[in-house]
Amino acid sequence: MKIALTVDGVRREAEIDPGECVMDLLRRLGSTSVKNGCDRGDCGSCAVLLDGRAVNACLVFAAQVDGSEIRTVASLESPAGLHPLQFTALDAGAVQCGFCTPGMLMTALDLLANQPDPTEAEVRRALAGSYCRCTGYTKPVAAILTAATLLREARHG
Amino acid sequence: MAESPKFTVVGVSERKVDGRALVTGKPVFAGDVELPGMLHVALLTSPVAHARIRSIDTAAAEAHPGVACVLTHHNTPAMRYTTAGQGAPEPSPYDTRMFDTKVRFVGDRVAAVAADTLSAAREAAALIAIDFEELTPVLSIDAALATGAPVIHDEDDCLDVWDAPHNVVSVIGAKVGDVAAGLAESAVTAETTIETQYAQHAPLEPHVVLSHLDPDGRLVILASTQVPFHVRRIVARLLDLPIHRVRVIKPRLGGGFGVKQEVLLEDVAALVTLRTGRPARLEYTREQEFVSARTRHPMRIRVRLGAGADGMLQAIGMDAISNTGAYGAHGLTVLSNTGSKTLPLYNKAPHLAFDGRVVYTTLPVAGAYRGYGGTQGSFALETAMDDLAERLGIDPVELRLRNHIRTGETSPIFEELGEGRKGTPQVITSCALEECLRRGAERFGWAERRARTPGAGALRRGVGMSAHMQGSGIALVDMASATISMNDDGSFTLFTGSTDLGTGSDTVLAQIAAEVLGVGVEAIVVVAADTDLTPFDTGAYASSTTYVSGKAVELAAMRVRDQILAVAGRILESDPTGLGIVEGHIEGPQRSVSLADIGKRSYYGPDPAQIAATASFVPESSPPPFMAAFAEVEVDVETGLIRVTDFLAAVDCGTPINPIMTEGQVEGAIANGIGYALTEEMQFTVRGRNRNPDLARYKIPGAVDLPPMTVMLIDSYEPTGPMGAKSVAEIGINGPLPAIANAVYHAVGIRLTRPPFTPEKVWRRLREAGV
Amino acid sequence: MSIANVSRFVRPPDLGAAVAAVRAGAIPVSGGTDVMLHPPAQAADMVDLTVLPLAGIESYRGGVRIGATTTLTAMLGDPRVAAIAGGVVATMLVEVGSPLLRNRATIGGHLARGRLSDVIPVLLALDATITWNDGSAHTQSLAGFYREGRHRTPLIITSITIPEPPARSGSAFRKFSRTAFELAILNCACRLDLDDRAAIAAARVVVGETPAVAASMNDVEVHLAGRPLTPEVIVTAAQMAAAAVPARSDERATAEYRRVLTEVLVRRCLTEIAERLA
Repeated sequence: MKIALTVDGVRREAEIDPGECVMDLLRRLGSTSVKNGCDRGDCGSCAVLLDGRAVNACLVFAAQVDGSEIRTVASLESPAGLHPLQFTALDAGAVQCGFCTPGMLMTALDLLANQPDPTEAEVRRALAGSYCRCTGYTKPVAAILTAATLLREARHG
Repeated sequence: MAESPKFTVVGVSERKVDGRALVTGKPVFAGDVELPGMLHVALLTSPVAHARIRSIDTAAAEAHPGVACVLTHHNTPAMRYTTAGQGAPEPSPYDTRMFDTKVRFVGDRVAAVAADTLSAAREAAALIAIDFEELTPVLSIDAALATGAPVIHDEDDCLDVWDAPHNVVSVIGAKVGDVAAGLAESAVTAETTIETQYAQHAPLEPHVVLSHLDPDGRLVILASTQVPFHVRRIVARLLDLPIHRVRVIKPRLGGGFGVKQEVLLEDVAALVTLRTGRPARLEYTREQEFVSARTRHPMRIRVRLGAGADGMLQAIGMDAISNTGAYGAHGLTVLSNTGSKTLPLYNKAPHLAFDGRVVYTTLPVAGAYRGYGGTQGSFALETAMDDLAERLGIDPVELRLRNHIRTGETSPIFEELGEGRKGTPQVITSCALEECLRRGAERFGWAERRARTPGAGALRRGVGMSAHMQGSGIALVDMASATISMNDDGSFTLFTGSTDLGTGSDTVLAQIAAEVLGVGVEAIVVVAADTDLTPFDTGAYASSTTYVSGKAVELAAMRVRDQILAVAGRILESDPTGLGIVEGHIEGPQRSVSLADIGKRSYYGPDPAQIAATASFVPESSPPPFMAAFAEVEVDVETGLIRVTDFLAAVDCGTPINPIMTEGQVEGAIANGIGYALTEEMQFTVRGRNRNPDLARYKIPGAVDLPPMTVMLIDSYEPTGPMGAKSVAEIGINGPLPAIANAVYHAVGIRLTRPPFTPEKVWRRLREAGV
Repeated sequence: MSIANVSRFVRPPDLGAAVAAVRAGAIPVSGGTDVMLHPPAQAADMVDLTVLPLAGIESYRGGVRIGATTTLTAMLGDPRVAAIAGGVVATMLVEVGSPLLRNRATIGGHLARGRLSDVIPVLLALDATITWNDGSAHTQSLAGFYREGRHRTPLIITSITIPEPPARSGSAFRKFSRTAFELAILNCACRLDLDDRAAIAAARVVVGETPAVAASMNDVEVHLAGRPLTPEVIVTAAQMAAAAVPARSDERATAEYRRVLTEVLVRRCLTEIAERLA
């Protein structure tokens, strides 16, 4: 079957298998930042924004995203530079191997869009389905809190 | 302690040199690459724990649409090898075949199918008909050692197995003095037996490999590996290729923790490519990562301690049996480290003994896993030390302070226990464990928290601690080399064979080079882990990269610096010995010259000549990092649920080259260790099948589950290391298990000896103890 | 996880067409997170329920009515859901799966599964009713729906209604698991309505993950009715629940341990309610 969707602002048309998941579709379309860590919604490495909310791309049928808008981590950087979530991750040492990073950043983007001023506990809960085996989460959580502050400051001028 | 010199780039938390690519999601992992005409390979693995293959029929699979190649024991090399990616000759037995006529665990390789699509490959693999003659599975250490136990390796061509008819892979021992006499003379003794579980590394990126032929027909393997040079050597031998006809490239790696120190997929993809001429991609699913990849060796360890009334240790005896699973990869060396990474810590004891055996079972294969046997040994030793402290009436911190090794001291174990053979005598050249213990205890509030009563309600609090050492590379075995060449803009390219598996070691090495060369880290281009481009490095294991590879980089950079200063001396008409590079410039008596000028001159003259140097480093010792770990737990005595509520690690790793990354290594290792202590366990059915091969049931810690962690980097300077550094990747994982167990004892008075400490298990122990 | 055996993905024009397809053997798909993990053994059609106007939350007779394709996240963010029964629904939802799952999983899909659920005990404790269509529309208590095994028959859930408990009522929920992002080994939801003499007018004590589908502990509820909410009554009720719970052993826990957890969780839920109502 054929679907049309928007990936990182670019309209794409794709012939899909009715049982195909969004993760496989996106990787097939070249969005390899969407990582396959478990293929069953346990790890969060494939998280993308689907119509504004972060989901496990491995657990969404491609057949259900016709007409939808998907954002991957590739859309975060702007001509002005890295997104605060990206550069705070680098500065705080939140990235080790970086395999979980794209999914974790998209999960954090969803959090900050809905809760711009989260507590540390809220950040940790937001990452409940986003596993990282390298960092122990201390630095990713700190980076997200710093990014939240920067984004709030930017919004208030 | 030597006075620490002042550094400019070293000791600074620089951003990762590969960080930008990672946060923007660039295609930098092996699994991100797709090549035209690429085949997808599916593995068929054994559904039974122990069986002989009577026959295997691949006709239907070969006829399946899209199938290009089917591999089984009928058409693949029969030679024995080890999957362990260690230096040659590997200290692991040659007991493995690419595809064997016998299967020895559920998940053992039976066949591989390459097809145009992954689904076609999987469908075809399901069409392979195998007739198994099932044999009795051997599912525990005791079953393996029982009289009349089935012989797991009954083939006649395996090499370096100690006693295959009795399933014993290796035995190892070390003896100093007389432990029995020492115990008899001791005022107080303690004895602990622990038994650890099967655990898996669970890197977020499963193993993946992509092979193809380059235009000259050479085999190119893009692999998620910690050991590209060992992969090249092992695959070349297996596939009967000259080593120079194989190129192995490690791109960005999505975590390893030891599980990628094995050649698990590369040989299969490579053989598919050789047979078909087409690129071949092979990737473990998460389930295969659990079922077929490597694990941590389960061990049963008994520790006996004896001490005088003053708390001075008289005797330490450690007996260990290690279950290596179906194949002996890392079996001998991991068990060696169980003793060698623990016993030297308390070098005051005159009587020491280590007795170890490694046995085969028909369970998943154990391998290298962060901590490498030291984790299991530490748990036994530090639990026994906690018990001894109580029997002596001495505070646990104080007991360690009285007994631990100091700078300038040695332990006979360094010489007695090496990597599966005799070791190397070694004098400790830096040790700040005393400061780790004292300052860690102070910051943690040890004395106050220890004096607190645990409470009488459902939730009881307690604190526990432990002390640890690890190593920095393997003395007189590891070799690292680095080449640095100067570019015509005054920047440098660092060619290193070392393998950054996500730790940030490429950045650490760039910082070391930048420090020597008087430039910022941005002036160092890192080219790493490509066997065609970079000089040899044994790879990323045994906490070797910062210390061993870092030293090679430092030496190469010093040679390049000398070449630069020689040219600068000519330009500045000054004696080079008085010159130095500061912020990209060499200051002469009258004027200065920039590195950019020298770089340009080195290419285009006058007197052009490439400025470049290569250096190798073979460590003569393996200076241990040290750590004091402190944990606070809350035990729900009604349910047995343990929550870790606080964790502090005070670490001596010499100079932290990049402090934030150093902390990150320790924090990540602690998280992994907490999972190992509380939840992580591969579970098996009575037939040896893994019951929890996914991340929903094999439970690694998430962000909500972990306590606040404090990592203190204690001042220390290792004179033999690059810029005073030791390595730090492994030691952190050793802390949680004993510190948590000791804290639970403090809280509720039960000694937990069989991790993971899951609620139901703890509740049963609490009930038995009448808590 | 791309799955095999999906013949077609049907976008039904209306509920009637969707029900007809399901009655003909098609599998209803809402968020799809559960269907993906349990692919059909034989070729089957999928019916996409998200194209139907089934999402949304509205006030209904003092309670809330939640459309079947409403995501758990939408429920969690809704002030009416947050307000109901002292916030016990929201408290529970935070512990369900992960945000990534809650953003996709829907209440209808969750209830259709009928097991592995923290949601069901709470909805049972709150006397929720479920509305579904198998060719005609039906509404019945959620408890009855599961008791009759309706979730295993071809139908489409269209909404769930949660009534607001009476004024003097308290509810609590406890989940017990090794880690946060994990299925419960056992869970428990309780609701107590007090009369004007502060005695228990009505009680709901629901235990889930026994590991059967969650169910009310009727004997315990009957025992509680009419009694004062004292520590002794709570302890007795918890012990009765432990004795009566239909616990079984599975890979997550033994039956014996589940009984122990039942006693602890029921006691803690009731104690929490008592403290809140005090």
